[in-house]
Amino acid sequence: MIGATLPTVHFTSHLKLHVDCPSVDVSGESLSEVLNSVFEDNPRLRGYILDDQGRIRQHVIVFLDNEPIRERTNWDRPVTPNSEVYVLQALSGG
Amino acid sequence: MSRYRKQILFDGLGEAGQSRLRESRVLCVGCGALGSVIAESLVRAGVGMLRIADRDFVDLSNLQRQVLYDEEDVAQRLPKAIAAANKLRRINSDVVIEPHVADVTCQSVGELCDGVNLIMDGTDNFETRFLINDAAIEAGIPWIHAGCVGAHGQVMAIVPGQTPCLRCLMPEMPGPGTSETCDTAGVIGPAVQIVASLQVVAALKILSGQTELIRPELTVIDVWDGTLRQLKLSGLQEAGGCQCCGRREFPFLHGDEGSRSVVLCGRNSVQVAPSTSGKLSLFDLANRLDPSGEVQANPFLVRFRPDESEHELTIFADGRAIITGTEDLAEAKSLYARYIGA
Ligand SMILES: [Zn+2]
Repeated sequence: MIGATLPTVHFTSHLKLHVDCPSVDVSGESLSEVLNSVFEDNPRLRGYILDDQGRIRQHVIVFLDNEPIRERTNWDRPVTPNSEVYVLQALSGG
Repeated sequence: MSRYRKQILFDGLGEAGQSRLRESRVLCVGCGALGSVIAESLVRAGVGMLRIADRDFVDLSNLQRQVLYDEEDVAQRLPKAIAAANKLRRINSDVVIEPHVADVTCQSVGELCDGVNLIMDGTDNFETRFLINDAAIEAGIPWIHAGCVGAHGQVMAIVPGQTPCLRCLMPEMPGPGTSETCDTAGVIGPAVQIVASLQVVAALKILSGQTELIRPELTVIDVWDGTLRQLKLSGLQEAGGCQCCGRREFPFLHGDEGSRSVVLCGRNSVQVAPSTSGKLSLFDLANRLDPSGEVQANPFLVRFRPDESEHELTIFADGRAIITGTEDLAEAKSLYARYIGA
């Protein structure tokens, strides 16, 4: 955990191949506020995580505090200052 | 049993676990990087029977991480299933090895799964994984999914009726070209070894009769960063929400989904058409393929000739590809999975 005062967002290593996205602490009281503030600072990242209709892409899975978010459009889940968001991309190789 | 003495001494297995293991029958789908490690470990551990299905030949570029193969196999251009079987029989002659040089399709998957206690994911593409998921859930066979690219990997053990399935996690198949493959982003041997080893640990639990030890979680590792996360999946299985394990509909198994591939007669080529619709970013694809060979792109298509290859791939924005230099469907689908990814 990076900060104990703001929610932290981590990205799977696989996303880092496409776009620079280190773990960040950002403010926000809901999951969407947190993600939107990440995208404001890192606009290229938005296209890797959301499709052109603003839905989470099929091969991307967002975890809030270790639990998967099922909804692809509505992420008004509350987050706490200690929350961890983890953005995962499915892997094809093997 | 002196061969397995160290394993029997291990508390988690013991005599009882080892004898269950000796009676077990496993299918390994794909025998590339993950599959090599899986097959070798399970054969050394003393499963009863290992069935291996792979559609590919051994190539020099495999040797960096596909630990079952050597230069002799490349020189002979042996199918991986055969080269693997040769090696595995020398490792442990107690184990029945059943190689199948075959593409795992909705036609062949039923027979391949027949009589096995467990299915291991050694594949390199989502299409086959969605098919395995359907087949496994339908027949009630546990399977252990994994993927690995770069230094990064994911492992998920799926036990029908006990854990969420792959489609609980990923309801739809990712579109073509949406994610990197080992042929575009690279992969290092240690990542493969660790990911496959985690699959084998789950396999040992199941095959020794301790399926209750399998938890609904996705393990995500990065061997370069030295991180391991276990993400909880228990919330995923809402009542009836999943098409596969909830509603028990199996479109991949029944051939309603899955790519449509055809040999283009007299043209020495195969057309591979993905099951998912959606536009491919040709620009991104061209950039991604650039380090791996010769790329020409225009707004309608990308033409790609991999280094040291007689094949040429022409990829259209709808995800369809024409692969020249082969009339073999399995080889064409394998090239598609390697370079475009699905
Ligand atoms: Zn499911």
